Amino acid sequence: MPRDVTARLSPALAVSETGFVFDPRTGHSFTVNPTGLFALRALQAGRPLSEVVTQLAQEYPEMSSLEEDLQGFVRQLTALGLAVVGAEGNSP
Amino acid sequence: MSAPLVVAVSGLHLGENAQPGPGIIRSLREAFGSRIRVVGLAYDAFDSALYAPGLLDDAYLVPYPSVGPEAYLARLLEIHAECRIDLVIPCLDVELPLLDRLAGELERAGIRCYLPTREALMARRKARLPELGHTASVAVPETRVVTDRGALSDAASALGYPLVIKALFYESEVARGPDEAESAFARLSAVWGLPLLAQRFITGEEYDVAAVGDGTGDVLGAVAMRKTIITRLGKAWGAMTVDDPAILAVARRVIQSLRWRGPCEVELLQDRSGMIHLIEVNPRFPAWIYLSAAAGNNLPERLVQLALGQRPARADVYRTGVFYVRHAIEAIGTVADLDEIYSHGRRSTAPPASGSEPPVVLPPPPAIPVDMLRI
Repeated sequence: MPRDVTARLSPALAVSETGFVFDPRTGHSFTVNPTGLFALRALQAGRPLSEVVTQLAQEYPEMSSLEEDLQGFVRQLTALGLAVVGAEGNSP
Repeated sequence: MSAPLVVAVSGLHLGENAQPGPGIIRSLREAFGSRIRVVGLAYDAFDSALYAPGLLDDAYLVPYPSVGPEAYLARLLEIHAECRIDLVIPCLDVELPLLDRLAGELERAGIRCYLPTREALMARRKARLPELGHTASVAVPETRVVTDRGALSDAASALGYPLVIKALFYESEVARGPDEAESAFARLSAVWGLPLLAQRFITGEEYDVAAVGDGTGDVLGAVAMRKTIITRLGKAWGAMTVDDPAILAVARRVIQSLRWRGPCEVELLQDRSGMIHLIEVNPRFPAWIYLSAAAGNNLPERLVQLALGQRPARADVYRTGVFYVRHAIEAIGTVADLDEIYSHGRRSTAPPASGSEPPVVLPPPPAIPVDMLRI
């Protein structure tokens, strides 16, 4: 995974402590598991995907294929219109 | 202490096709409290709000607008003589042209209305939607006028299935093939007459925007929602407030193009590519209008302020993520209620808000043979 790739999240996206995600533009809501919430928080902080993988590995050392899982997660976010992937990362 | 503002509201039936009256009344009660008195204008003794606690202070039967302007005016003036109406808020599409004709006489009697112009009313008609879409730079699903079965068949060939078949005033059906199209044509033309409209079906998310315009093109308040529960009739049984700048911008362009004066609802559909299509403009508040008050932008309150000659500040802010789920319950009446409203055309003993007074113990119903009731 290139170091500078980011997934820029919609700035209006509301994420609760429990993993409830609300998009105020569409009124759609989602839930994420603790791993997804951790990744989402890191993406909201503007971390590149490679750094998010590193942080996930430190937080969840027992998990394997984290890079693949994160890519799948980001693909889902992109398909739902919640994120835009790119070197600079335009807001969705 | 000054006398309360007396507001007459129609559209009182919360049935399968819910009318806006109850939502407007709830919003006004929340805004004005005891400074308002609400008079219900009912078309039927079984309009549900007549029996719902806490909504109406008084209620009268009125004739259908089809009786013509003179009889309708005469009835409004009779009611006015009894309870001094300050403002009428029409809630049904068919009332608008009638009140437009009567506005001058009502104003001379001291009854205000806040209505769109005749030109704006005509310009938002379903048959003229493509023209409006062009003016407001918004896409409109391809639409054909259907005057007979031959035109229906031509429209189906051109637009394909599924096909949306609409009556001019109310109701629409989605036909998935020729048999359903034929059935929709028969039912809708029997109820609403011809012509009907056939519209290309578009798959996507449905958004509605309720708004108040001041007649100059300015929008004094707007609230957008996404339908979350849709009935068989295509009505929103549940919805959530959203803040999509693109959706709100399209609605504003439509209202500005019409120079809309008063309340309206702009129905939009966003297809899978993100393109926004104009589906309809309703010339009144929608049945879900209480959601605007619940989200912190009470649009019926703004309408009343405008109608009273005040100039409320523009309010674009409301809470997103506020939702409703319509909750239908049984409003209870007895034959004594029916006797009152059929005999006197008035129901002055509307149920109070729950908890405000001790419950009334009803006497047993009188032994009247059913066939003696004037139903």
